[in-house]
Amino acid sequence: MRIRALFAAVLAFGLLAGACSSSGSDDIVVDDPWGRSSPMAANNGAFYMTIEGSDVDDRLVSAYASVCGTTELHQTIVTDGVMRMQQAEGGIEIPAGGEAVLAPGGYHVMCIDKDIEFKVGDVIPVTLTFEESEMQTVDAEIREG
Amino acid sequence: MSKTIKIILASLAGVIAVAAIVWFFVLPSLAPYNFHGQVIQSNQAAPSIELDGPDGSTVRLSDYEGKVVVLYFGYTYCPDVCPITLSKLDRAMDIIGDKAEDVQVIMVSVDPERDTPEILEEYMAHFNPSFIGVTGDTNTIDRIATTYGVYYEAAEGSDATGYLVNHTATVMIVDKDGYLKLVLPFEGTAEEMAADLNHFLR
Repeated sequence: MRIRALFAAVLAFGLLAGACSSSGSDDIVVDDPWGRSSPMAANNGAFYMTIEGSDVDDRLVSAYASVCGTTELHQTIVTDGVMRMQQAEGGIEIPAGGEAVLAPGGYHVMCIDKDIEFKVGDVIPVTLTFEESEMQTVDAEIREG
Repeated sequence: MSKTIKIILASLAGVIAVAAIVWFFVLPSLAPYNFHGQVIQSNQAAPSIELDGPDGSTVRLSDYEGKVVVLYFGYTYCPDVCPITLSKLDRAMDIIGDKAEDVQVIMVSVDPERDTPEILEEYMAHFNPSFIGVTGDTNTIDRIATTYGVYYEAAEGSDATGYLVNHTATVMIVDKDGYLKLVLPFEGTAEEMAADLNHFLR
């Protein structure tokens, strides 16, 4: 009886530990990936998302989408009414336990030389490469914006 | 209740009614309207614009006298700031409803090398079928940008992007008589733009 209880406790502990390690405290979570609708006439497009950090400091180092000739990480900076766009050198920081916000007017994934019109409702897979965490592919929904 | 008290109460009610009318109706109409951007007071008409528009047309600012013109300087390679602004302007048009007929949104390209009239036509129509884009030779664009206090400069991009263009991201409103009246910041909302446009459409 006592042995059985001990066995149950060990099993429970094992399950719990297993659950904790696989529940993804190591994994980055990407929320609400989306892209802005844009016509063929627009050479470039942009994707946005919120990336929740894992338990280690990480970085989004690159992104890839098959419909884009090239994909770069960019940042828009507006100072004194003047808009500048620059490549995010070294990627976009995702602090442990924090988040990286890619949103209009700030960081974004820039899709250069896109081959298609981005129509509202389309879903475009975007593959994200991180410095520490494993690569992830997310489905970016095209919206007005 | 004595007659005197009745008279006092009636007078009091009258005073309160008058005060309420003044407070809720008269004072607000006297208060100056607060615009959501920088108000321009000039006795000179907005600098002239004559550039290439859709279908080989020549677009002049003076063609739109009688309409409120919303001027924006941008370019079609711009993936973030320009579409944000043009989408906001489209929402502002929705908000003002039928009065949008008396508004013309014009984007002046700050990238005449890559923005042809055809590309601009398709690009602008994506946001709103009534929006137009204009372009021209670099010297003309330079001169127009300078007269409107707009800064723009090609900046180095990557091999993929080619050059990028840093530019003033404000939205300008020219009234029905052709006077530049207001400069709205990039951060302004569609609701604020609509409210300000409504003011010029009264």
